[in-house]
Amino acid sequence: MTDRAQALFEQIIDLPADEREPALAKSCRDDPQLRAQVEALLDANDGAGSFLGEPTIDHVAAYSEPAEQAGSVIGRYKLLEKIGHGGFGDVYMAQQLEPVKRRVALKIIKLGMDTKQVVARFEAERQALALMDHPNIARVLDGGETASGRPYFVMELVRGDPITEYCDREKLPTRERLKLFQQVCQAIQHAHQKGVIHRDIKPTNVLITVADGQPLAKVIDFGIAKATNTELTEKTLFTEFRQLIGTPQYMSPEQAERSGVDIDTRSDIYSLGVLLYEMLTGQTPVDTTSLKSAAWEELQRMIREEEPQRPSLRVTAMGPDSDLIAKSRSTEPTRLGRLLRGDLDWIVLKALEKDRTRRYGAASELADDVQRYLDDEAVVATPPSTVYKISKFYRRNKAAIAVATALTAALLLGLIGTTVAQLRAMRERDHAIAAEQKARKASDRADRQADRARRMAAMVGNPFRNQEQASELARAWMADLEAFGPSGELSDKEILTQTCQLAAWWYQYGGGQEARTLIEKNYERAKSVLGYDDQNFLTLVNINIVSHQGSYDAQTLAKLWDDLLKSLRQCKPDEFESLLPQYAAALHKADRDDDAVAAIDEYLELRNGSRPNPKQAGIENFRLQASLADLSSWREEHSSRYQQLADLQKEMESRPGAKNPLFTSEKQSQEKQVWEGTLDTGSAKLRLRFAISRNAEGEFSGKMISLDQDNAEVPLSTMQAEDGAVTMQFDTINASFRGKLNEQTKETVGTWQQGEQEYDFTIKRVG
Amino acid sequence: MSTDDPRPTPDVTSLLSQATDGDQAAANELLPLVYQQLRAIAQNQMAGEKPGHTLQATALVNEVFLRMFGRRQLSWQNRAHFYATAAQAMRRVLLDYAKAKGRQKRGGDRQKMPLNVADLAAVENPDQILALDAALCRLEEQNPEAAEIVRLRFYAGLSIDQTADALEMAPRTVDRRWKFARAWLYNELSEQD
Repeated sequence: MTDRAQALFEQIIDLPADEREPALAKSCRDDPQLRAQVEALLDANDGAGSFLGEPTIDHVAAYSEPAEQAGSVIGRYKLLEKIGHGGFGDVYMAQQLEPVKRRVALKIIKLGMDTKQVVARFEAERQALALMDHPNIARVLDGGETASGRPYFVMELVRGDPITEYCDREKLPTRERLKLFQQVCQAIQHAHQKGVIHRDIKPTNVLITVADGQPLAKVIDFGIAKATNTELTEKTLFTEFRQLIGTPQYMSPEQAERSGVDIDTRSDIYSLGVLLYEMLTGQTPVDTTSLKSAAWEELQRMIREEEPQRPSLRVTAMGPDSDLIAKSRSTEPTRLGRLLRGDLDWIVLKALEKDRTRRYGAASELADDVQRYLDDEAVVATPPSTVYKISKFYRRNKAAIAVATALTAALLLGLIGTTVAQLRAMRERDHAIAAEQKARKASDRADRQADRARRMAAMVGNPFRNQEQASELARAWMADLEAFGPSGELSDKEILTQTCQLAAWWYQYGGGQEARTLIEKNYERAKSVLGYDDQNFLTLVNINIVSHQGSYDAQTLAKLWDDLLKSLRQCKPDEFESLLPQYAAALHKADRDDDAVAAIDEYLELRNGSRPNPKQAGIENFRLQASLADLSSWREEHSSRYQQLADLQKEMESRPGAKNPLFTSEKQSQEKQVWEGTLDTGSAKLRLRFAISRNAEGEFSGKMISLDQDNAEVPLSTMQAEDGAVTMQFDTINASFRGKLNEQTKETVGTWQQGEQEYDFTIKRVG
Repeated sequence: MSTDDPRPTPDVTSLLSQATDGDQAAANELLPLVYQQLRAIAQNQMAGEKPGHTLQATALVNEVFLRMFGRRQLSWQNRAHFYATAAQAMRRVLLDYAKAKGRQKRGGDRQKMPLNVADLAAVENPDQILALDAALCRLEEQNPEAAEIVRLRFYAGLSIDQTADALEMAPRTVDRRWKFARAWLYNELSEQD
């Protein structure tokens, strides 16, 4: 059959019958073979009738799963009795008929996989599997395709219970459990030496049999995960039949990632870590209840990111279950906690490192460390160092920390110490973030990829997201800073720098108490080590004042103000003067009137020469007002100075656009609007909400909330709305929206632009 | 069994999107899912029906779609990918059935059944199923597009218009190529009689 025949057939098939012959004759003048081919096709078309009409499949449907059952013979094996059943299929005890008669276990994988591929993958691994010979490994003997087309595997028959069940039933104390676990490690070590990775280590694949009165661990199912590609199908089965199959709790982060990272022996080390965790605590590291409720993406994230709780903490923090767990280990919860604390914690956590290069290099190393513990020797695993923890914390919270650092300027506005002022500072902070991001964006323009990554990070890794988790980490970090102090690996200066940033972070996220604790412990040391000219120290003084406004006496506060001004002069020589009036007020309250007078004189002299820039005028105006209230007794004592300050304040207030933001906000009737829309980026649909306020002057402020991303928030940078044309700019994520308002539908239809990408986007007013 | 649960699971949609975007791993995962759904639904439906009721492949594929994706809005690319997957799954269901049936027969008094080509719509005869598949594989070698049209039309039961949508082709072209493929297969199978 030629392409020409096909082309000609398609050309004339729709022609009326009487036109076909002339067309055929014309096209096939010198080619009788072609003509014959086309005629055959035309005849077939005419005669085909209902051929390939809609298929009815009653018989197929009525026909049920192919029946391998007890009594069936598969190759050289006769099935005797079904001994197991799971998501993968069924396990039978079978009799091998030749060349030797023996009992074996035969596992039949259920339909739906490509049998040929499974068998081919198994064949590829077969040579390596045959090389394994170890008392703790159930030998894999054979594999193939059943008569009904299902893949099957034949293994040494092991009669036993899953290791965790056995341990609990026998109430094995921790030491005995560790010895059993070592057997498992040895089996895995042997397999690794022969080039076989198990890929699916879990309690049901580690069976315990009793030989000569001693428990013997047997690892089963070598080679099967690889042949059936369990890494892939487990997810599938899990999503569809999660209640039946259980969960991918034993998967290593690189397996969960599924990003094409090669799976190597270290993945098995991780699964061994999960197994040990469960043997010791009765629980898997990732909480089973959260596994059940989480979507796959969330699960992946948990496996990738969530640090497992130390086993020693886990066993004591389970309420009534703690008793049960301890009892099945022939002990009590507190004693079990004590037993696990320290070395066993570190051993388990080292095996469970997210970064595989930090895990044990081999199963034997893990077994050796367990042996050292059993022999009361020092184990190789150590508590994570401060440096490591800090770097880890940084990795996760880069965005939040960048924000905290950017806050310094904004926090200075918060020095007023009132709630209203803090709210105002929050808004200023948004601008500070935007400004910082803008600056970074400009400097990075050459590197578009980094820019894009950052935008993504701003969307996904928004600092407002996952605050609880971040707080937990911050707390752990704080505890370590206290426990270890300067570690030698990190200089004093660095530790203090990070302490300052951590304090700012806490303050920012409502951890006032934590911030105060950090400050009280580290303030003096930070002053001497970092010095006044250090930006981070400036932040620390700043927060110290703001967060202790009500609790320190006037003298102490005045001293802090001394530090603040000294630091400000060095760090921000162009900005310090606007704080002089408040400094003076603080000194005045501490009965240091001479110093207060000096501060005001300096201020007046500076202001006689220059006015603050227009943008600062509103804030300075407000600071002046606050100071004048505090210095009211000066009306008599220092009437000329007081009058000059009052005049200056009036002048500033009269400047156009320099209205005090705080006072106008009291008067203004803010108009609030909420808009929503679903942005379809092709690969994802994002529901976005815009909460916009407009003040009496017609200025917009607000934020965008991503409803699909844990309500991550992005501040609105600028917005205009005139004659139905709307523009919104979100600098932190380099995005903007331009649209036209449709008066009738109350929809704004336009374009969402993010970096290079443009999408159609419609938002609708919802409130 | 959760296949009785009509609620769609959220992850299937993203799996389908990934598969549509060319993620081979996702495609490999989707197929067994569709396969299992096809079988389970077919068996459930036949179990509840009187004898003589016929089950159309098209209806079955649509039922699977509803079970897996409910009323969710899917792009036509995703839909197209689903139907291609469903066609493949249906083909595998038929092949598994045919192979198992064929083997059963081989044990007894197996006799060569004449291939009633005109009657191929009622896919009952394992030999027909296997012969059609073999012929389709041959067609695939020389004209993959025609073979794909047959798969979508025959195994997934798509109409000409739906097939045209899925393959981004003009309906007229699909119609003609379908006629060609059908005629070609008919000849191919008739020659074996």
